Amino acid sequence: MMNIERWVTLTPDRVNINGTEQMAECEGKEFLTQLYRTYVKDYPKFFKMDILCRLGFIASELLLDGKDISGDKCSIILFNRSGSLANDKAYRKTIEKENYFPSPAIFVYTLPNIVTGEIAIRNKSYAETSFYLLDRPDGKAIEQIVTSSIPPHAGEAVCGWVECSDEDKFKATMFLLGQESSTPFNAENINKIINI
Amino acid sequence: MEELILNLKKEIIEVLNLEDITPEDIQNDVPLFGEGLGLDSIDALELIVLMEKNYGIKLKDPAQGKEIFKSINVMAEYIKNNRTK
Repeated sequence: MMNIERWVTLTPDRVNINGTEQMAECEGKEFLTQLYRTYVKDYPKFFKMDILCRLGFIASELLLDGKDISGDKCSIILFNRSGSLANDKAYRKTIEKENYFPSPAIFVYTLPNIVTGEIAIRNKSYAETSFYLLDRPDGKAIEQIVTSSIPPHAGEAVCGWVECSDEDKFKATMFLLGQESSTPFNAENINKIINI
Repeated sequence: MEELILNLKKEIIEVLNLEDITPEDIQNDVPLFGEGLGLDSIDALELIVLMEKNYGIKLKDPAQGKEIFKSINVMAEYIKNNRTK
């Protein structure tokens, strides 16, 4: 049985880490950049990421707060509803008939599971990564999928809901799972935190 | 030529999302790849698109990019001699 050790929720105007809320001084995509400049600073690849990856990346940085998850012991399993739609729309603009210049840099983010890869690369993680689409942030489904996806040798997991339908409409709720807490990773607690 | 170089630097910063870099930070004769700006293979493809979109230069062989994208000076010289718009 895995427990919730830490959690983070991130929306266009606020961030909440384990119940401590911080309001944004700016909104949407700019808020993510502000969080990057405040808490990360040293990973310029952030600026090349699409909005979904920026959201997942910043949420994971705030969640992990320097914790080492390198190696093969910490799975990364994420969910959302819109896949990579926000970036897909941006890519479509580069392939319009009258202005056909397909952008390679945008194209590489036209899959939602790239965000799990970006988090794994940043943290030198070689563990299981997967990305699932769900109709809504359903705690029961998330619990079942995450629990059944974690390999027996993995003692930890980063998981959660990372949804972004456009640059100013997003929400991430990310959990760090492990053994060192008394908050069970179950549907009730997942739903409670996601709805904060 | 100076105007072309400045515009080129601004365009590179924009298309490659080099948000923490200004035109003054990019030296004209320093390699763009490797130890220079640290660009990667996706950035090289994006520069090929930039050449076609902004200057009407279509590179038939992507391997040409290795020579053309050596530095800002080399790139600007190539654009000056081959641009169609």
